[in-house]
Amino acid sequence: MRPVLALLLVALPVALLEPNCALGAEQRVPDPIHVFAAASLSEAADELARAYEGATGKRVIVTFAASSTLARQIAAGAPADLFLSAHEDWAQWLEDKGYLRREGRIDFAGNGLVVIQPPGKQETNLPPLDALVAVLPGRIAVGDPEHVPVGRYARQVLERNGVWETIAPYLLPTENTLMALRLVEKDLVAAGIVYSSDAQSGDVSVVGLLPDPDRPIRYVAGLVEGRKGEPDEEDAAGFLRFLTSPAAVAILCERGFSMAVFKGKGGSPC
Amino acid sequence: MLTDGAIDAVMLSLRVALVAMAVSLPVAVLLGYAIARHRFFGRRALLVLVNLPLVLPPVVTGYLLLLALGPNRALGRALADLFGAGPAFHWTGAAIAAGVMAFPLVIRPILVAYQAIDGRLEEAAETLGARRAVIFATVTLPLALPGILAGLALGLAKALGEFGATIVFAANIPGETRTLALAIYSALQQPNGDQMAFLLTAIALAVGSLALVLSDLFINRVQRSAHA
Repeated sequence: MRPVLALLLVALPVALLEPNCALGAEQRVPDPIHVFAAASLSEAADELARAYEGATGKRVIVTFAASSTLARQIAAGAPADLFLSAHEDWAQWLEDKGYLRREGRIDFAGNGLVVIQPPGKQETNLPPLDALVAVLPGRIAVGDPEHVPVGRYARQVLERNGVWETIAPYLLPTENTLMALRLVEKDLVAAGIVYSSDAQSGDVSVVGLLPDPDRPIRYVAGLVEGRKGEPDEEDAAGFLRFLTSPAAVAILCERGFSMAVFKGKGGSPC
Repeated sequence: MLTDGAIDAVMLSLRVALVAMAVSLPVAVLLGYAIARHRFFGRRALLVLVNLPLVLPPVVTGYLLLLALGPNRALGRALADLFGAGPAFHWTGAAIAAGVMAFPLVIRPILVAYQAIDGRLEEAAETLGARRAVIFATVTLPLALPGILAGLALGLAKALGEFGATIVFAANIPGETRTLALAIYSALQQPNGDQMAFLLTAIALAVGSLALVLSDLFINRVQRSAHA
């Protein structure tokens, strides 16, 4: 009994620590493309990844969080090949620090902001800005206006329409836009401000579309600088180009994103 | 200003932790006595329940609190009507989360202290005619005091540092529920939050160290006077 036990105690950690111990060199799986994407891209980016894998056979792994948080992680050395940000500022911040490449940086989608309420709980027929004021002192969930893109856009719109001071004390800042969506879905807050694409993917009552912020909502994608070796840059650049292909545009439009920012591209589906 | 957020976070943490202990400690002292000294139906189950926050992931505890006391639950609404707000997404909720998470740490040294008391001292008091409550107050409690203080110190430290259950149940509202731990987390999520994170961490280290030193001195003092 003793020798068997000793053998197990040694073998187990070794087996756990050696990821490729069963594979020969020829069978080694190629490194996937690591994409860090804004939380609002959750289901869309997964679908884009699958489409890309289907077309090219190259594996794509997507990590989701607020664009601000992802930018922070990339600057700290996180293993991302591509950064898909919901706000130009965080892409620029990374570029200024030398972590995002200028060439190849593209805008690939837009979005709208909507006011939402728990399913079945809509404020009767009020326009969205009035509805927000009407639910006070109830809480309004939104991505943290200090850094999360959706919160920053929302703040711009609310300030521009003179209601920021009134509403600000009742905001419930969340770490990303999906958390705000979930809080509204579960009837834990009175209302929320999320992207149109979020509202479409969730089970909520949509009160209405908010006016656009002065700087239109723009999703920016770029290659992360400083990734040595790992998958070919060609692979990552390939996925970047894929983002503006008709197939990708179709997926994004279907998920509620808008291509209005690209008015020049005639014939766009949304 | 950099310091405004930091001061809010520190004051909030102190308030939350002290309120959490103000409620937890009496409960632990009384419940601990019942568990340590009496055999009753469900005693073992109660012991498991009391220790559950220690083994559950903190976010799970926060989620369970939301299920029980959330604003969309009967109990949550009743409490909101009674106190005007919360407890979910409110500083009182942060105190509940901190109290629940700290409770296993508070009660543990208290249980040990009760079990270590020589029962004959209490019996002697009984033969002298003292009532149960008086025995508890004049014999049992003073003997258990070092354990009670140790429980308080541990619980306070845990309550000050509580994160998972707090962020789920009370959320991360600046100035209202953003305790020190949550403030550091927020600073770490923001691209330019390094300065704030550093400042808050330094404060947390200072507060934590001070708390440990003070509680150590205090417990020592009590133990010395007990042996006098």
